[in-house]
Amino acid sequence: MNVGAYSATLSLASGGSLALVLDASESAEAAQAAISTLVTGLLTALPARVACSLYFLGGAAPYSPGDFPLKAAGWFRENRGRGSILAPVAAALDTQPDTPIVIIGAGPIFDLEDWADTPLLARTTLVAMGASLQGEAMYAMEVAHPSPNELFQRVHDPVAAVRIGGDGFMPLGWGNAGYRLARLADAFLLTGERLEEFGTTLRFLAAPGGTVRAAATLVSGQTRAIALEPEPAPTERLAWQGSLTGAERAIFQAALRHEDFSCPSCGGRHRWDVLTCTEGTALLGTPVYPSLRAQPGQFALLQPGQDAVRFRVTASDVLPLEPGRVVVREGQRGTVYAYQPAAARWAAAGPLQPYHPVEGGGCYVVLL
Amino acid sequence: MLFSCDRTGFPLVQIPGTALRLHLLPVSKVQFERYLAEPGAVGDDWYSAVLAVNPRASYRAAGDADRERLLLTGILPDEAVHFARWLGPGFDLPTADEWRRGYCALSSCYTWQAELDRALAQAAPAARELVGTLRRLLNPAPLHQLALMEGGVLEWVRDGARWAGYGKPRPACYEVICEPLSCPPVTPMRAAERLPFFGFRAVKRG
Repeated sequence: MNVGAYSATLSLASGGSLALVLDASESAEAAQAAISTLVTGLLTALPARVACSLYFLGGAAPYSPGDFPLKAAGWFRENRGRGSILAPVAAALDTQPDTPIVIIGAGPIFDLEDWADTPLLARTTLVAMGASLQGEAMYAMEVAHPSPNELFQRVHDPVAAVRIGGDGFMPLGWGNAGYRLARLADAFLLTGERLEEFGTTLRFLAAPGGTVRAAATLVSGQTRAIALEPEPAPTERLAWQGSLTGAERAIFQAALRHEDFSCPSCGGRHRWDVLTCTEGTALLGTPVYPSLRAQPGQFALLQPGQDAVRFRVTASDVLPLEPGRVVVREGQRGTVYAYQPAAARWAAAGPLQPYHPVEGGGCYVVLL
Repeated sequence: MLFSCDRTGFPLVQIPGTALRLHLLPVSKVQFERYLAEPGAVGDDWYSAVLAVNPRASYRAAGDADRERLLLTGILPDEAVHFARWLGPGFDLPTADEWRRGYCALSSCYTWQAELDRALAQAAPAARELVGTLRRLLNPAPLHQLALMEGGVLEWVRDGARWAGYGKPRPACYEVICEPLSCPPVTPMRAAERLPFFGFRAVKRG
């Protein structure tokens, strides 16, 4: 078993999500004004980035929470007399498995027992604005007559951090720049903390048939698993960004022969593996390949051709070298890691040497 | 046997040689709740009164002792007719004769499993689960056993101008022996009383 290349999308609403289900039934008629006040207060307190949805018990149609203050009375009229039945809205809520649910009403929900011990009720808070919504049974957490602020504190529990990892996981690229590569024990992870937006696309290597998971830690400290559905990643075609200048090409060709070269910056001679000339006045030295430094990134791939040396600068901290081998940027150096199929882990295999060949493309890699 | 589904996603069975379709099962609480969830149907107070007669059991956790509690009983005939009309054109409560014809046809039908499985693929998830639970509990051979025409409740039927009940409930539910093929339907003493052993199934004509 070797390592496979996959892609996946992590969907996670920034600031979390919340589904409100309101009771317009006969048993909640006397509590309608109190329900409206509570919902208006809660919606005012919720940050705009919380993805909120609104339903009525007995129905599956979603309503726009933003319109609630203006249209609440009409919506209650529209749904008046629906029985206190969860089934229709439960079918809609089952499609949002990570969304906390708040049901606000009065009097028993007759079919609540059909969802006993299910994930749906585990993420549900019942809010009784009159008689209990579950009678003497205890199917879900229930609070009575909370203030908008109390309810906000209880239900607003946004994501504080996300960690993605798993068997043989090695991220190659990710669309959300807020995520960082991390190493915990012998495992590589992708972590994001205190981000406005946690959703991301990602490409990664992993053990075929293994498990790659995303776990969110909420502000309250609770953790929640988030579904990831990896798919085999298509082979990526390299897009070259430019060509070395004539002087840079001469340095590159000398370096491949492990011969000293003449530095265009200081005029002196440097060893073949020097990438930054420190003889000049520049504090951090002068790159021997100014063309590469013009692009922000971690590694540069160089491909010699008949008349030119093309290059591409990569943004990710990880670059695949050949099947089962990658280089990982660790501060000012690169470390080569080799995949260990038996342990589904990546083990360090030594530092990255300048002009390390990359299999398959006739390329060489240097650390920027 | 030809099966189909009504608007709640619960199965109907066509009586061979007729255009008559009967609910496969007496109307269950989870099925009736589709109607209850509609705006302005019957309301929570009405349903609470009905449940007080025969409390609800969850179709997801029912055992054999709960069988009758899965079914909607305690309903009056006129209320049942309202539900039947809500199901769509042609729906009604069966006559005593229609119920007996259904009983005869289903009690002589032993090869129904594959066709029912095909129909259930199109049914509401709750209907699939409920039928699955009953199959597990009853291990039925003739279809009338799965249909709870035996071992269910008394079901409202039109007997001329009056309402009566047919069915073969378990003795624990209703102690009087009823044999649909040889006895007249049971007439309740007080037609306006909610009775825990009286439920119904609808029929679709044409």
